[in-house]
This record gives sequence, C-alpha cells and structure tokens, in this order.
Amino acid sequence: MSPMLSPAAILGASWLMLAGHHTRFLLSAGAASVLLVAGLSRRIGIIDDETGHLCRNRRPPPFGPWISRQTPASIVSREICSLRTLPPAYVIGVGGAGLVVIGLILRSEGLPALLRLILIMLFMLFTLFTTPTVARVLAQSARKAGLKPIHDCRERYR
Amino acid sequence: MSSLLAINVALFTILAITGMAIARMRQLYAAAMLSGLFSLTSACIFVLHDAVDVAFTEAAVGAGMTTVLFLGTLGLTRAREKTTPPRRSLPALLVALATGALLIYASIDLPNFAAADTPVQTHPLTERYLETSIEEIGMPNVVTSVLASYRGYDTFGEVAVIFTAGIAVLMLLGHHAGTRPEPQNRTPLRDGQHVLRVVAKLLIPFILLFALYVQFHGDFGPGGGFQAGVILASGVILYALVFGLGAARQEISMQVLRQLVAAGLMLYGGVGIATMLLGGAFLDYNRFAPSDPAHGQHLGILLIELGVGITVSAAMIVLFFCFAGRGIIRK
Repeated sequence: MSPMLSPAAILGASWLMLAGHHTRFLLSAGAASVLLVAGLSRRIGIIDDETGHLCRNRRPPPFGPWISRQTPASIVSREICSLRTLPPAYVIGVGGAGLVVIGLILRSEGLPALLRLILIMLFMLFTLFTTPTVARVLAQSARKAGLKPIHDCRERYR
Repeated sequence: MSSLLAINVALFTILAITGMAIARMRQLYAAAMLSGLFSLTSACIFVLHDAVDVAFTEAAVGAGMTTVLFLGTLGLTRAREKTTPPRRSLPALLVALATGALLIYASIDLPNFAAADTPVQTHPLTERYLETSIEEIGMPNVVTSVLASYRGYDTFGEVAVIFTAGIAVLMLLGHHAGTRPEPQNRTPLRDGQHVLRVVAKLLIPFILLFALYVQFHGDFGPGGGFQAGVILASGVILYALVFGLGAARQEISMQVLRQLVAAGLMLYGGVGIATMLLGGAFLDYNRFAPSDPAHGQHLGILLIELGVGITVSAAMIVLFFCFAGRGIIRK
C-alpha cells in the first residue's frame, strides 16, 4: 500500500462525513482537495514515520486511557485548589450562580436539545478555564474583608 | 423572562466577565487564550441569533487567527504586561470612559432587543433577498447569494482592503521576511516536545482539508472564501509556530505569496471584466450561461469565492511571516 494512501483514505472519509451534499462537483472537489492536502502534507513532512505509524496502527495509543484520566483530574484538582482559597460563603455563591445558569439553559424549552447540550458544555469549559482567575479576584476581596479561606493551597500549584 | 432571553443574558454575562478578566490579567499568554474564549462566546451569541455565517467568521478570525497571531507576537515580546504607573494610567482611563460613554450614548438609538418592527425586519429588501434569491441565484445559503452576487461590489472592495493591508505590510516589513535567519528566541520543536509536534502533525492536514471544505461548501452552508482563507492560513501558521519560521518559509516562499495576494484579487476583478466582455454589467454572472442564469451565478460565485480565499489566506500568511520574521528580542 502506498504510504500516502492511508492518510488520503482518512481525509476522504472525513470529507464525506462532513459533507451533506454529494453532487458530482462537490465529490470531485473533495477528491482533488484530499489529494492536494495529502500531497502537501507529505511534501512538508507532516506525514512521516511518526504520523504514518499512528495512521496504520488500528489500536488506540497505549497512553490514551491514562492521559484521558489524568487531564481532567489535573484540571479538577486545580479548580478545587482555586476554590479552597475562598471563604465558604463565596464558594456557595459561585457554585449556586453556576447551577442557576445551567438550570436556565436546561429549562429553555424554546431551544433544540442539542443546542442546550452544547451551551452547557461551553459553560462548563468556560468555568474550568476562568475559575482560577475569578477565584483570585474574589480571594483578594475576601482577604481585604478579613474573611478566612477554607485552605490556602496555592503554593502547591505555583 | 423568556428562556432565550435568559440564555442571552447568561452569555453576555460570561462575555462581560471574560472581558474584565482580560483587562485585569497581567499574564499575556492567558489573556490571549481568554480573548479566544471571548470570541467563541461571541460566536455562540451569533448562533443564537441565527447569524451562523457571522458566527463562523468570528470563530475562525477571532478565536483562530487572532489567537495564533497573539501567540506568535508573544514569542517576540515579553509574556507579562508591564505595570503602568498610576499617573500615566489616568489619561487612558479617561479616554476609555469617554469612549464607553459615547458607545452607550450611540446604543440608545439601537432598536430594542428582538424587536419585530426594526428596519432589518420590515425593509422590502429583506423579503426580496430571502424569498426570491433561491429562484434568481439558486443557492440555499442566502448569505453567500447576498455577499457574492447582490453585493458583489462591496465584497470586491473588502477583498481590495485585505489586499492593500497585505501589500502595505510587505512594503513596510517585507525586506525582513525573506532574508533574515530564524530569530534566536523562536526555537523550532524538532528535538523536543514530541506530543506537541505529533499532535500538530495530526491536526494540520485536517485543518487544511476543512479550509477547502468550507471553500467549496459556501454555497450550501455557512462558510466561503473569507472563512476558508483564514482557516487555511491558521494551518500554515500553526506549522510555522511548531516547526519554525524557517521551515515554513522554505515550503511557502514569499515570492509565491506575493503573487497569490494579487492573484486572488485579479481573479475576482477578472470575473467582473469577463462578464463585461460578454456584454453584461460588472460581476453580472448571468452572462456566463444566458440560457441557465442559475448555472452562471454558481460559476461566477465559485470563481470569486476562490479569489477571496486565495487573497485572504496569502495576505494572512504574509502578515504572520513579516511580523514573526522581525525577531525583536526585548529585555
């Protein structure tokens, strides 16, 4: 089998999966695009032994299950650490506000279920990325007000 | 309060919090990533308002291209914002407050949220675009019909603006881009960072293919030349960030890019001139197939979208190559 054939087949399958229209023109454009991208990728060296091995390997990478556990675990532990720098009342307030937003999205019956699911996932992602920043700002105001945090574990992750 | 309004309020709140977090943040890498999140949230709001094409552009340009350009710029500068002395920040605060006040004053003239009697809803042109464009142009995506056919002149002007920006940057910084060696503070990831390198290698072909998919499917769904050009350029810029500017320049020469920036605009203008030579007006695509106007429209729009895609992608890559090639090292 040609070393370019396997990536081209994967790219071709991706095109067919994305496309909702299968006219003659679009299929020809798809075939030309797949060949162009596969050829270009080989020319600039991004289809080589490393990626070729992944394309030919039918099994998932052995570290897949490990990394899929570790990544969320590290993010969640960072979130918990950020929240523990806050007083308990603040944590309840932040958590309550988050639950209210999710509840509002869930109860919005005018929207398709898929859009609601996407919105909730986006909100969760937003929360994951912004909690440390929001917690830092809130912790500063709490310190000024003389409120004690649950436990300051920031040094561990600094 | 309706559910849709509640979701809009929630998204706008997220937008405001993100904006404030960006303003307060001193770590510029985090600020750049948050600005990408800001664009994605904006894109969600546009989707909620049924402006899917605008959402696509916002996601491609705001979250994709701009974030990549920010990260590329941070490779040349320091990653932490310098603290401004309070006496110097006062004029900036006053300017920001005045601008904010002006914007709020201007927003008083805006129609009410979701009002049904706004000119956008009631103008006869809206009905014409939505109801007769399928017969006249024969495309399911009305946005493409409007941008590429009804308002083809405007789009030609927009492409000319992008062409001018690309040429201006080339004239100002182009002499740096092709001749200087790889800046010392931009280390290509050939010898380390295996995960990043392999993931980039896996992603780039799909990014390039998706750009071509968006280019060819602009008639049927969200997308078109602008979005395709930006996505294609993002793929090339990702390659340059991971494998080094030198490697990217070696594969895509500045000479070719210069020609492509002009070629796209010339293709667009050439289609207009061709329609004039065939006896029609400028950009009157019906002239390509007088017996089947819809076919002529399809052909004309396909060609001009291709021109847009070529100019936008080449101009974006030129911008990145020129700026990244400067290699300024600040201490």
